[in-house]
Amino acid sequence: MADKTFDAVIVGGGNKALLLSLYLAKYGGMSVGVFERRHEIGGCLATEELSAPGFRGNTHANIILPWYYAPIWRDFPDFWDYGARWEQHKCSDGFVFRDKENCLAIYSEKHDPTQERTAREIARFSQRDADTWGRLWALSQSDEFMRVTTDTLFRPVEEQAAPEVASRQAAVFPKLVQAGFTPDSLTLKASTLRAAREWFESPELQSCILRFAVSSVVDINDAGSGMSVMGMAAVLPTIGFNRGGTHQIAHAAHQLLVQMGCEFFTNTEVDAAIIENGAATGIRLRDGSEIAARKLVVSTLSPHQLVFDLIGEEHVGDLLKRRVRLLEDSFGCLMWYSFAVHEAPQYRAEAFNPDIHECQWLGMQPDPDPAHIARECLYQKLRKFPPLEDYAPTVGCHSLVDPSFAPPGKHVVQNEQLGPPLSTYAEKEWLEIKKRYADELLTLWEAYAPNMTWDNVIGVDTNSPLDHARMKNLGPNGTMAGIDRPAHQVFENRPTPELANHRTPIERLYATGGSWHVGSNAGSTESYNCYKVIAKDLGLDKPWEEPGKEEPDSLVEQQRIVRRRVRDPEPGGSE
Amino acid sequence: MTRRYDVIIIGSGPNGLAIGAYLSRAGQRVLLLEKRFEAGGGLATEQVTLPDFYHNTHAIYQMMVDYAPVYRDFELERRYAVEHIRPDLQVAMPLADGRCLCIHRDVEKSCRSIAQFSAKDAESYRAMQRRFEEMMECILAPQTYVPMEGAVEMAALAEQTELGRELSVYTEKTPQEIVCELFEDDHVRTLMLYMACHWGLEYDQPGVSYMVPIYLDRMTKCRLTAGGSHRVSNGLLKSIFEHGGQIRTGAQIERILIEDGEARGVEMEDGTRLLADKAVVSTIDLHQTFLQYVGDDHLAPAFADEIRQWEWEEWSLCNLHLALAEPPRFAAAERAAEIDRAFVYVLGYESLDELTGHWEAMRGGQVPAGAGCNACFPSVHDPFQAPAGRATGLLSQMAPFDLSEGGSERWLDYREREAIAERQLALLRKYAPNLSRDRVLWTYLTTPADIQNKFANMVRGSYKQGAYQSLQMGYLRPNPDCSQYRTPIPGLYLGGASVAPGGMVIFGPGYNCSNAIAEDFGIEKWWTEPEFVTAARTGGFIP
Repeated sequence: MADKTFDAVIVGGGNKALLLSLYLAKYGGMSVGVFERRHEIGGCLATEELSAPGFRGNTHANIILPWYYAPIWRDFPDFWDYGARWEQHKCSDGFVFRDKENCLAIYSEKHDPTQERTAREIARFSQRDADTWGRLWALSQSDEFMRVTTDTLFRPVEEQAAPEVASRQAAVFPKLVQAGFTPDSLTLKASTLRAAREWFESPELQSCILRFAVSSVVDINDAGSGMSVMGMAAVLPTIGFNRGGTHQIAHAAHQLLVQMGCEFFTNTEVDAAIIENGAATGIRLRDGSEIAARKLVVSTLSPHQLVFDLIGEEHVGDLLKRRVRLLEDSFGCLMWYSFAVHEAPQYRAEAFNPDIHECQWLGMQPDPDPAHIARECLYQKLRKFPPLEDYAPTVGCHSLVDPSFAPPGKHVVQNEQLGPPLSTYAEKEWLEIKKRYADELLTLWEAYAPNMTWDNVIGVDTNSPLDHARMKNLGPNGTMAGIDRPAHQVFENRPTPELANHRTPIERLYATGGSWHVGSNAGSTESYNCYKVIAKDLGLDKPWEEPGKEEPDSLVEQQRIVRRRVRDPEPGGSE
Repeated sequence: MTRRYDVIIIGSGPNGLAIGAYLSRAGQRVLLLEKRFEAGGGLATEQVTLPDFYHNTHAIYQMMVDYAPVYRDFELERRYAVEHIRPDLQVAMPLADGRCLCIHRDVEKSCRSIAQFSAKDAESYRAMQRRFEEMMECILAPQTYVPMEGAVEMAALAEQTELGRELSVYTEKTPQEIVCELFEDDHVRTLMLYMACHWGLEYDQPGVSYMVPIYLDRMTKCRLTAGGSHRVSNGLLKSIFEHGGQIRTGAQIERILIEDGEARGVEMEDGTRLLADKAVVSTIDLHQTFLQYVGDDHLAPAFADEIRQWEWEEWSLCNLHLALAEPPRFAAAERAAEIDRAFVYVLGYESLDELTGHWEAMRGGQVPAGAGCNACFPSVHDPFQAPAGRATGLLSQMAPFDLSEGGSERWLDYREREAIAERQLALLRKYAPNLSRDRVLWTYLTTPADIQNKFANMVRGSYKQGAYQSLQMGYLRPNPDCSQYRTPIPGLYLGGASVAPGGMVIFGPGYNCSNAIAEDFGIEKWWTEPEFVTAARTGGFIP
């Protein structure tokens, strides 16, 4: 006899769970119960005051891109008002180079909608790159390009081969060629490092793009991801964050969900799915109680947790088990610190460009050669910190744009750098590494911004892979994308071909999460695509079939709406 | 862009949540506005050290669970799984000589412990405990959940009963006088005076010493929220959502909209206008409310002056949160194992002079070397709050906002913060020697300056939003124009710690403000007066 019953039982209450639940509740017409191990929902949509009270740090998800919530904004108009409010810095990306005392600033779309200003900055290093940039930006804003990227993002992988998708790809191909980006066999098979070096000549710009690749959990030495360089470069001006902190996005979803009757159970760990005759009929909690699912159970756990904990080995075939065990999950492990500071960093390179300190995502390395980043990736594969000369952290200061991140007159800065996987060291070693790295980082930072000394610091959140494991589904290594993103673990292979379309070997048990397509982001693709599959299987309502919501155009429109909204905010006053 | 509600509540701490919960369930369209990124205010639970260590980063000792109507009215336990733990050994004060003064839920056990120090004090404690419990039940608790009357009315009523007269006598003594008249032993006096005053009473000032029976009664009535303090705010928020209420976190107000002298709503920083057809309630501090969001243009100059002269608290708290590799083993527990399971420890005051010396030093902007603190290890009572075998800890020390050297900024110096943490840990080690430095896995510090940084309404670290002195309490909190929750501006109400009865997690202001709004707008109350309040009326203890 079940202790409780819901139409849909969701295992995990994080990013992907919340956004999927919105659709199950509104368009699936389902009663939804969400079961979360931790004391709060939101998962990696997390903001904490860990460096010091009153100083907000996004402890997991931080970068927000305009496409992340396109379907949510379309289908849930209150999402923005309830807390999912996109924002940009003056400069979205950039790099400072210690030994050159110069820097490259990529201006955000908000402040430089045509990217002419950015092109002028790039031209200081390479006119050819500046021209490429202009063409690339125009291309990336075109309907054809945005339709194709939107198709890639917001369709389950089994629908990526649909004829209309292919014809939209065919429509963009001549535009790519015209812009000077011909995707030939070499660029398709190359690493992002190799492709970046071919398409752009200035190492400064190459480094900006490649550093962002690392932040997208791409090893720039890996073959097969060369084509993504174009997309990554085009994304740089659209890098943004969420006003008030990433956690507001969880609040927005939560409030919508409770208004639709969704129930949440925190401090409630799930033990296993209840499987009868090959179908999931509910879940059993750690405390022994049982929750019945009338229609489906959805897992947002890691693939390993899904197969070995939730489902259980005995229900899963050999090949799938082997593939899940072989999943690579050690790349995107981060030292993702935040520092509560008296003053925002003041860079020597401001003499070259006074706006450089405004960058949301500012790389720091001794010289422009992206070989630093390449070496950092190599060391990470060896599970080591690189030598200090190859540290290439990325830093940013949200409080410059959103004062709510810090108390009046103070600031908070965040830094990201690859770190070894959690399993490399014992806890005791990590506790020492956490402190040591803070020292190393500040010593390094001071060379670029002389005011970044311990005198300027109030407190530091030493958010390392050890700490990332607070989210159990990121275990065992604390990798931010759940699993790595080499060619054999993305798209139709993510996490494995058998699981990539959100179905599992168990009927009525679906799965999604950061280890599904697209991965390594705080957005809604994994949730929305999972809903598309469920809706197909169960015959649920499909918003994308409603007039005015045809895709990809309605989602392209949402991206443009949010970008306009941030550029030209509506004046206040009564309606 | 405009939206309309019945009631808009500024601040989502315990009082704001209570008002939102009472009124939304009464059918009102309620909106809460919260500046921070998380609701709950002081009811916060965060993993501030290492994964799976839960810390109650502000309110931890829940002192009115038995009386505050919210717990019962919202069935927090039954409907929202909000459980409380009340350890048997409520307060323990271990001493360097190995003895330990223990105050239990059980009076007789307490008396036996006190008798180790003074047989006379044991007897006195028994009588005191009974008497103060009676005062609490008959007068002080009921008074918390009804509006205050003026001083003259209160004095007249107090004269009518023996209990009231006794309380009036206490009120005019200093806490130190009360404690020293009741007890003779130095250690007993130390513990009692600490427990009476550490929340913010001046040990040598008369006028508000009716708080002494409150705090000494509450000394054995404190509870820990299972799963963390945030469970309480979560429960209230769930009720608000269930009844159609809404909240905006990360919400920055620009001003309270005043038209034709009446509060109409709120304008946000981005220009959004949120209209309140009935009431705007502020649960935040007076300066933000009146000087920043209402503005001098809408205030009588004398009223604005009075608000400007509001006194913030004399001292605040310096709290160190700990992730421990193992629970503490107190040296004093060798004599009595239960000492390892006390709820609250008072450490470091080996004499009354050391305690009063701490207060005197704070008046000079200092924390004396070796100053004492209270300590709590919540995971010992609620294993959920730490990984198996490990422990959470909190060391909480009274500290001034302005330090004589460096002012409040000194609290925000990284090296100073490390030094403070080491000092506090050294103090703990003296009494719990197993907690050598390597057993402390990680720490997180909150100082008076941090409290202001975290909660803008806790000005100068004033976690009760203002000093507990006789001109700012009861009918005078914050002043006669506002102490009954209405303000000189029709439609604008006060419902937080700045208004009677005051701060701490007691839900008094929120409950009383909800009643006031319901009365003013003819809103049918689904909640009934608590029995202990009705009994107090019948008994003539409250109006």
